[in-house]
Amino acid sequence: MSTIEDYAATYKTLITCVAARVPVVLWGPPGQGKTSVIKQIAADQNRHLEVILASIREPQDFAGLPMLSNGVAALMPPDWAKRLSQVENGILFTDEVNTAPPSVQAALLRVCLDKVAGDCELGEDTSVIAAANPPEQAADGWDLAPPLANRFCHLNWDLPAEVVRDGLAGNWVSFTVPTPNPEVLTQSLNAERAALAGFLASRPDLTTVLPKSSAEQGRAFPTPRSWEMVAILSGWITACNLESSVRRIAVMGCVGAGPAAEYITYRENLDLPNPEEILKNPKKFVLPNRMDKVYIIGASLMSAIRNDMSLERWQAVGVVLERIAEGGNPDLAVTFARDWLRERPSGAMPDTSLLKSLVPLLTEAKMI
Amino acid sequence: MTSAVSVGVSEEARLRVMAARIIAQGRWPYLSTLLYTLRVVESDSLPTLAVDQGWRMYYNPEFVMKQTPEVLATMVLHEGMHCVFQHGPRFSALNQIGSRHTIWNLAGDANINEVLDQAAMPWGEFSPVRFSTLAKYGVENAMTTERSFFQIIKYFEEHPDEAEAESDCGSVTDGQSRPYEIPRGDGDKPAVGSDQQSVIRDRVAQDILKHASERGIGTMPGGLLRWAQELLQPKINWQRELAGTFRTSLATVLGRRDYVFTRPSRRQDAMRIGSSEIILPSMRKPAPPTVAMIIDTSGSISSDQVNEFLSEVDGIAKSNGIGQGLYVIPCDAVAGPAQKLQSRGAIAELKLTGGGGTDMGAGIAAAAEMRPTPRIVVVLTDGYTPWPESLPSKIDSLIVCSTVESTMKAIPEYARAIYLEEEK
Repeated sequence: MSTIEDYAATYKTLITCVAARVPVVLWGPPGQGKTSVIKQIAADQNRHLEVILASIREPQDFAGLPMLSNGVAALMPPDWAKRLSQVENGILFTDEVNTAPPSVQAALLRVCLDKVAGDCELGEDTSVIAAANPPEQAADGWDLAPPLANRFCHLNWDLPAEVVRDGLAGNWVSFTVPTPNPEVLTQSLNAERAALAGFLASRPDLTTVLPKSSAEQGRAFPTPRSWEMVAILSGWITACNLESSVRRIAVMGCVGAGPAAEYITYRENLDLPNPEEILKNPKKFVLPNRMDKVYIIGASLMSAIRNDMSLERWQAVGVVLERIAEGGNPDLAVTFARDWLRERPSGAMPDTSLLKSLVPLLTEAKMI
Repeated sequence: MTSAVSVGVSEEARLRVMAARIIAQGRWPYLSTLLYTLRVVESDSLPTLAVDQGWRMYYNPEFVMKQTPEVLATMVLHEGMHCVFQHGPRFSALNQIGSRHTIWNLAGDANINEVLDQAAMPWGEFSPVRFSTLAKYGVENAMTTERSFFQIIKYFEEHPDEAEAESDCGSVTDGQSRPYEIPRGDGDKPAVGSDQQSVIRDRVAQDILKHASERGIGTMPGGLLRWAQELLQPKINWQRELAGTFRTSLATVLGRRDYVFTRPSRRQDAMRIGSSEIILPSMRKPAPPTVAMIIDTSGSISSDQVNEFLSEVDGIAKSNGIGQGLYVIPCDAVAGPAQKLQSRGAIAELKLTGGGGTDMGAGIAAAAEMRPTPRIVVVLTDGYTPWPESLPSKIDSLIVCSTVESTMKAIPEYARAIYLEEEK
């Protein structure tokens, strides 16, 4: 299933991976325009591109040809490696990685991780892109070996019908991503690392999760390395000011759907105001315009006063509830008011103006 | 939106919708963030309730006032589930003619109302679309929305004279704007963007899983739990899992088609440059091992399941270069004679009879006695069987496929276990 929005977000994730030098693998059936998109990206970023088919290569094409010379064996780099080492900011695109025999995949490991082919350094500025056909679609496809799979951000590449329709009419859609300001980038990368450290401190069990099934091991799963890739990509996405759907796809591509959803939720919660701050100064509380955030703030306030109840804190929540009700969401206020009234400290009375705005709704919902 | 109804009715209807939302939230607290994200808009240009692509919920005030808050809460949850199940993008992905959206809506409704009925939600006087309503079109219980949709389309193609049934829950179900919708960028009630929607859906899915793990699976409708698991813990189908496991087994058994330096390459002579020499490896492909498939014939596995399983293994083996040497052993309490599987077409000719009692250990022992010894053994069973203490040393790899999930725990450590989920 793919819509034009999914395609746009995947496309932008790919550009971000290329720009951030995070190795990326595109999963999709043949004929989905993967190669032409990558050529387009290379042209847009003004970078040298080498395209090689992994399935017709031998391990020495990646590990270097062993050559005897004066009694010493040296690993001769292949021509593409030589060219990439000579240019700055090259891009290496290896197509059909999973139809390559295992020893070729193993040789690719060193190229993807260390950016070394034979005795030839490709340079840290080189980006690595791979494409693979899902094993059920390729005649003799293998699942990627877990160590190789874990070095990539995995993207599902699927051309929606609308894109093909417009493309055949001569208008292949393409996207660009703004180049981030280096200072902003450093800042957002640091912020992202801090957020990720906080997340893994609260969920240490998600640091490394090796999937049980062999097919899942060939895709995205969390390890310290793939979390590091999350920090880089998510930092870039903040610095480039991209949509949250791009972040979702990028994080999912590195660590898998479940851990990605948890991390993104954690990140979103970090942006919410601290409940203790609101309780100290409830009159200054500004209603967010997203109602899901209002709900989460309400829930965090309720758990804060349950943990530490005082008349003052209880009344502060009343002020916030009144503000939520006045903001056009009395039903959201009532949801919390129910529990809030139940937690009432002895002798405390809710404000009459709050009650006035809630009572009609409480009556309608038959709660009083 | 201007309204013909009086201010009094308008205000009462707004209260009722909000009350319904409070009740709905109380029933399914894990949907809270989604329910409160829906902005409510009054409109008398539609008959009942609807949600648009930007998650704004429109209601007809007169319709609303005819429902009790409890019944209305059920309808609010219904609309919310259109958002959860992503009916809009799923319809676009089918590339269907836009006018078929009313039938798509119908198919989606049946699925949603099945979940609501499981939770015994009140409907009052209102009679919702159910699978039983669609039975006359050939729709069966628990079909996916896509399958019901194509079934109904097929029915109307075969019966062109009948008036098409329809349902309309707004553009959230199909992505096509309706005339009554307020603009996306409305200052007071802006649309929720699709990327924001997926973040909220992820959060709802996590809340569902959390609720299920804290309060027990029985406390929530299975339809929602399955959706959340599929979203956050996507499963790989058994065919793919079996293929992957089989390949891994093959690799550990004998080595695969791969490069070796132990023998010179055919092209070695052409690789001399001056006094230097490049050393090329040659390709090596070991003789493929024999594979035995043990089929549990004690009863509960249907012949369709056996056929599908055998042709799957046959296909996987062929694509991995094992053209010959596939054997099938039927097994109940004792193992039957091993039969060679020549081709996929010969599956129907296999004699797979059996009866009372089950012991897969007998089948495994029989496999170990075969000559040549099968290095890979694949077992298809319902799992209600004892297992041997250890694997006979001649067998390198044992893959057990069980059709019953609860028996998976009993499968011994030395085997690779796969759950064969039946497709719906």
